[in-house]
Amino acid sequence: MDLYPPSGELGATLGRIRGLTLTQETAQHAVDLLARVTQETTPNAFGAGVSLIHHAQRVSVGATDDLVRHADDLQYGLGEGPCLTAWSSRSPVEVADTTTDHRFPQWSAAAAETGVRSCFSVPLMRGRDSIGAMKIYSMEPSVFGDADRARLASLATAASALLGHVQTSETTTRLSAELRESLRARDLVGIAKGILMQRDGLTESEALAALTLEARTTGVSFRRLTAAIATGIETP
Amino acid sequence: MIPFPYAEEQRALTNAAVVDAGFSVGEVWMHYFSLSGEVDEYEVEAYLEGLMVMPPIECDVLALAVNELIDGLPPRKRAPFSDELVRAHAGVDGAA
Repeated sequence: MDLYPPSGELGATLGRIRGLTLTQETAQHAVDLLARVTQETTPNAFGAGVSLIHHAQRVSVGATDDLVRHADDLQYGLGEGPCLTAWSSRSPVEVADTTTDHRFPQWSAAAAETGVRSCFSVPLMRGRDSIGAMKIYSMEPSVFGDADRARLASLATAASALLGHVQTSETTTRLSAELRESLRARDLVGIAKGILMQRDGLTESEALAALTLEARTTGVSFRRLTAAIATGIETP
Repeated sequence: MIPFPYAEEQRALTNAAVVDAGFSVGEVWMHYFSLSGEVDEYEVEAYLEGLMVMPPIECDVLALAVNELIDGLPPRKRAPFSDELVRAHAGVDGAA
């Protein structure tokens, strides 16, 4: 359905929606930077990665190198692994040695084959929601110490605060669809008000009051009532 | 603004309805906006909190928006009657 000329509130509404939305590209840039900072501050780590997860699907991934990306891809391909579990259980997960850890048999075997021996992953929490996971990888078994674990936890807290504002593209689409629907409904009210003003010689607020009263007394939704008037099917 | 003697009562009861239904100010405002509400989201929030007043017509449009949202909530679960269950199961078996 095409839009009628938008109302004066459009600017404010668009501003509100824009404020909520961080684009996918910005998110990608942010997770790449975070992965790099994590690696640079963790000498024991061969590589680091950050994943934003929505409905068990990865929406953005940042990785310091192809090996990390590959180890991460394996998790989502196989549907198991330390980061997926850190994300779903909302608690840190450590695989000290991929050749002896049997919690994620398929992933551990595949990761060991590429040379990844250990991994530590923490969830990214936004309030009570888990929005993703950060992880560090090493080619050596059992290399991560308490300092590494504490540092990653602190970085994850900062990352969560930043990335918590990222909206998935699905949310953006839903919001703009909602806005379009809302503007369309609003236009119908405007048209119905205009019809009543012209026909009954009412002021704008009198027309609105008449419509509100009509909706209340008939129990018809405002949307249906104004649509009926605007399309000339029904008159109050 | 025309003084309305029961403005505070309307505001308090509207806010109570929003809180009771568990709506966010954002969703209430979006529906109010679609019904041609003219007041910004922040001001609507301030109104609901009792920090500012809105013109009477806007208060009524907001009340309408809240009530329409309440009407749109899923109905409570109802208990089935024995004959309804018999008919429902006969329908499933008949189709199979």
